[in-house]
Amino acid sequence: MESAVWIILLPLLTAFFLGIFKLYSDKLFYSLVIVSMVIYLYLLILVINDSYPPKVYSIGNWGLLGINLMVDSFSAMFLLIIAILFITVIIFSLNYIKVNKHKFIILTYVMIAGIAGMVLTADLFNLYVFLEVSSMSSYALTAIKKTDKSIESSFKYLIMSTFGSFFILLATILTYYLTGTLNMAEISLEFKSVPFMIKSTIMFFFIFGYGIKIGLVPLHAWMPDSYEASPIPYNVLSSGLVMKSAIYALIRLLYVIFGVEFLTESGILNIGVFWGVLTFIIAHTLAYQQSNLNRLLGYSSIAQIGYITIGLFLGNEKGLIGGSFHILNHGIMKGTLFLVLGIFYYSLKADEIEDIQGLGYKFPVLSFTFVVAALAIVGLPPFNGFISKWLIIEAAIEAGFFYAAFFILVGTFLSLTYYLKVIIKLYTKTEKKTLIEKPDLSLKLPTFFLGSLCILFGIVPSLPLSLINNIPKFLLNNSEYIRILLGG
Amino acid sequence: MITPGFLYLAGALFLFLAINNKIKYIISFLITTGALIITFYLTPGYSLEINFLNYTLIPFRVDDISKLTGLIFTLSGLAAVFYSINISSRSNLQLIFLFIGSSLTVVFTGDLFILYIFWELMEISSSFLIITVSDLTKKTGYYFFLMQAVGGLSLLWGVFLNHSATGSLSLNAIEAGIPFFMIAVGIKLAFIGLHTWMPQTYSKVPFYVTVVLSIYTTKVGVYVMYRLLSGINILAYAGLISALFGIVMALRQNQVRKLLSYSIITQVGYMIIGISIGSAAGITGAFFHLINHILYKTVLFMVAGVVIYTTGKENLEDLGILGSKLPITSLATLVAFMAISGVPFFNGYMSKTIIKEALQEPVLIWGLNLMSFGTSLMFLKFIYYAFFQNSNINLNRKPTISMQLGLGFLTIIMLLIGINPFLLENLTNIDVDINYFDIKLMLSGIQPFLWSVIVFILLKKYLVKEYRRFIYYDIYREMAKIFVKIGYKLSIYHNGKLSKYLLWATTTLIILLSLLI
Amino acid sequence: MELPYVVVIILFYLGIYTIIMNKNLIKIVVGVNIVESSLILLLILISFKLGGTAPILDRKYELVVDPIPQALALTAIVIGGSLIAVMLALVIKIYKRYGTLNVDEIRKLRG
Repeated sequence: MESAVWIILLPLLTAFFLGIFKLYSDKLFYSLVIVSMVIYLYLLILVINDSYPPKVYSIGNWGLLGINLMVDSFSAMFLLIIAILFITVIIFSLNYIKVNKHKFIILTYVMIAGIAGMVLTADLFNLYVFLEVSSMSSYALTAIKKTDKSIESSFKYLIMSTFGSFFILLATILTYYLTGTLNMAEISLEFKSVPFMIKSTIMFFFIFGYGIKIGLVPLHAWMPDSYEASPIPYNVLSSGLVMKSAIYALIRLLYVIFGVEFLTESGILNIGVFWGVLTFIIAHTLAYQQSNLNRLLGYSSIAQIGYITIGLFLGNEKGLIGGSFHILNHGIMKGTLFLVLGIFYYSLKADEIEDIQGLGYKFPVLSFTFVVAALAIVGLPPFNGFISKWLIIEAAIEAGFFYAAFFILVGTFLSLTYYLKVIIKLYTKTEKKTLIEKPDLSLKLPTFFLGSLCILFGIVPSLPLSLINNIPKFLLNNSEYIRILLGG
Repeated sequence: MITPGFLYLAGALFLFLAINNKIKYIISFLITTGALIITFYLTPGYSLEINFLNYTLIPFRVDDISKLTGLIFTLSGLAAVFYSINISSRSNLQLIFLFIGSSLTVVFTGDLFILYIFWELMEISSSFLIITVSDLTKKTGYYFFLMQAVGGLSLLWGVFLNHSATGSLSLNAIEAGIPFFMIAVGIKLAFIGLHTWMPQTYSKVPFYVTVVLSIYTTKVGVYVMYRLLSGINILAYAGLISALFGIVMALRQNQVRKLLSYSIITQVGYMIIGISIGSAAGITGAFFHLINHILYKTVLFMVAGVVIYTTGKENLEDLGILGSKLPITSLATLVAFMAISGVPFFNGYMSKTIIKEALQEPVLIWGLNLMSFGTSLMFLKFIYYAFFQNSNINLNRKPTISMQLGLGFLTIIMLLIGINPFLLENLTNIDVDINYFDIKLMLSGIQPFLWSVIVFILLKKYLVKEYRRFIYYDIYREMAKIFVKIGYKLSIYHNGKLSKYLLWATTTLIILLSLLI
Repeated sequence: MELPYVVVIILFYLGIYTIIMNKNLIKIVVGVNIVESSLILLLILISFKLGGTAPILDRKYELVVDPIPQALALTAIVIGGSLIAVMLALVIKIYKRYGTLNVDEIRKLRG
């Protein structure tokens, strides 16, 4: 069978069997987790390697009638993020999670299946279904700690997200009504004859629906809540994959179905860039006010999404490269920050800024990792965040959005204000604090792995960029994508 | 080819291996002297290219000015590292190496990208040095980092503007973004209005950190100003105003290191003037002054350090410890004082003379005289407290040998340059064509000094009086308060009510749809 | 022929209004359900053809309805059903912990 299909099927099947094994034997459960993780990693590498030129996998040999999966560089980059984050998070949470550990792992597998599906599919309704699969497991994962706050945040997330889903579904149905097909390539061809107004209405429904899941500013309110109350390993996936898969889907729809000419014509690119600027300015301002580190990092995630939005909505080649690279980098940087925070929480139950005082001397290497990731996310050289921000700013200037480029620098300054606050707290001496539990290697190793990627991708950005550089070819020029998808 | 900056950066890594003091000494000695020797044998004209992203970058390029600056940076790096090696912890020493290494890289860089990266690295390493070095400097470090970050970001914005205008990252093609380069350089130079980080930082951090910071931070600013902004005549007046401001502020201080920091602002004024007139003589003068200034200001900061180390206090009264109890330190103080006041046969005289000779406009010449006058006035105050006031302060502990070594080393170099000013010219093959020991020149050089002695004796009771700190108004803090206030308002607006959040969402939808029409 | 679409629109707006304006958690869930139903109704409507039969591959039946929206409707119903289940479960938990069903009083998370 095709390996791309197994990228979706394997986690789903694993989740199913894990559910059964959980009832009988812990040993069997964990060995299945490990085995399926290793196989999954192998599959991912296989598919990523094979992503250029793009490949189409048609399920069940139905041709264009059935559901097609398509792997191009954009999806390959997402598979890379899945590979990096999923593996680290699973290893991390094997020791970290104490309550509902089995459920956590099962749900994570389901979520990964949903996200992998979103990334690979070339079918509009299928996209919606996978979106719901990943969202549904996210709701459960948010509530998994079973505290007051986690249930409240899960409910808020659920209502807001469902609100967005309605509009996505509505837009999907309308698209089908207008074009009579769900295959993205065919929709794109049919769309050429659809009136401008109707097309842009549909586009706005899509943008609004996905905007809630992405967390653009007036739609973001559920997001910090969900960060504060959910287990920290899930936060890594949430900021690195759940949010990002939504923006992936949106960008895929906009560029492939509507085409870049239509986007320019309808003015959505201007709106998107402005929206991105608004998002990160407000999110940075709010992040400064937070005393809870999870919340602070949550707001920071929203802000970073702002940068990504700017990059992807610029509509030029460099912007797409920079935005995509920032998606990857943000996943890594935020993952590092959350994992370090997770270790602090594991050993001292510290997740307020006040609690981490003096930990810089207790965990020197971990704190150093935190500092590296924080500086990277602020966008200071020589770390990876700087490279992607540089690319985004350069693209913004090239596209004529000088104000956006300028405000990115302002945002960099604003983010420094609160990250520096945290770092200084980390290195302020204090008397008290007893170590409750010593973190062991399975917690530290994933953290250091992600942290070292921050430095590696900053110094040798050509490593990921060799993959990312191909992304604009199939997004900016959607006829190429369509030709391959139609099997031409 | 190993560049001196790279050597220092590698040294920061090698120091991880330093398990005990002995290895620490050996590594530090090898790195610092190695860098000095490499810099000495660099041939101007050499350059190195690498490819990064889509650009061709020049991380290393040598010319006369950069070699000169590199030499003084490596030389004083040697002195500073040995001055502080006993007191500083290993991680701080690593930060110092990182800091020196990145400033050396900035000096030898040939393009804006590398310049920006190492400019930021300097800022990061120095800020972390300030933050981690003691418990009292957290807030100072925060302020310092933010202020420097503004400078770094405006440099970056300038780089972008210039890149989009010219399409190149070369240092030679500066067309656009000049105001932003000015802000960036101005913050590094502690230009009037942008100087607020400097006095508080230099007076709060431990003394050896002050020594290291004072050598590189402002001087890199001067160097980058030469690269990006040389020949903008109007800046000469700005430099003059900044320098006079520095004098006025310095005269009001009664803390040694605050006085010295304000005096940096004054001295940097000379360099700004030299660079902005843009002629070869002016630039040479500015860079010779940079060298001389690094020498004597470092010595003075080291003296302040010795005073703090031995007495534990640092008010001007505590300078009374100098004298027979600390012979080497006292001697160094006197030499540095003569130098900074521009007395002939000391090194400050030569560079001041070059700058003065390069000037044409009478306003600037008079300004320069006024600056010399003010400088010696403020250091007469220093000397007065050090030697002419009776004091009964006792030594708590003796200064370490490594401190005295660093101090003495620089003093000897100062004396050498003072007695034989042609030494610097020969070293760098720059011919200034000025006879320093011409009677007329010497007279005009010593005049401001003599006047200041007279004025000091006449007005002593006003000058040595203790001034209250006047009301301290910092516009940047006010701006920060507004930012925090806005954030607070926004944050209470997120009051946890789901129906409100849904309302925001609907409003957004309506706005989006209305944009459609 | 237009009337069913009008019903869809009315249902959709009604549901959205209920979600936004009602303070009671259960009513919000009901609102979600109403929107869900309106969308499913829309799906059925767009495939509907007057006099058409089920899509059986046989020459005898010339006029068949479009089968794809029906399949989609089934999927949407499944998704909607599970959503409502999760929501109601959370509402029960919230009621147990907060002792209220008023959405404005559930605000431990803010800032």
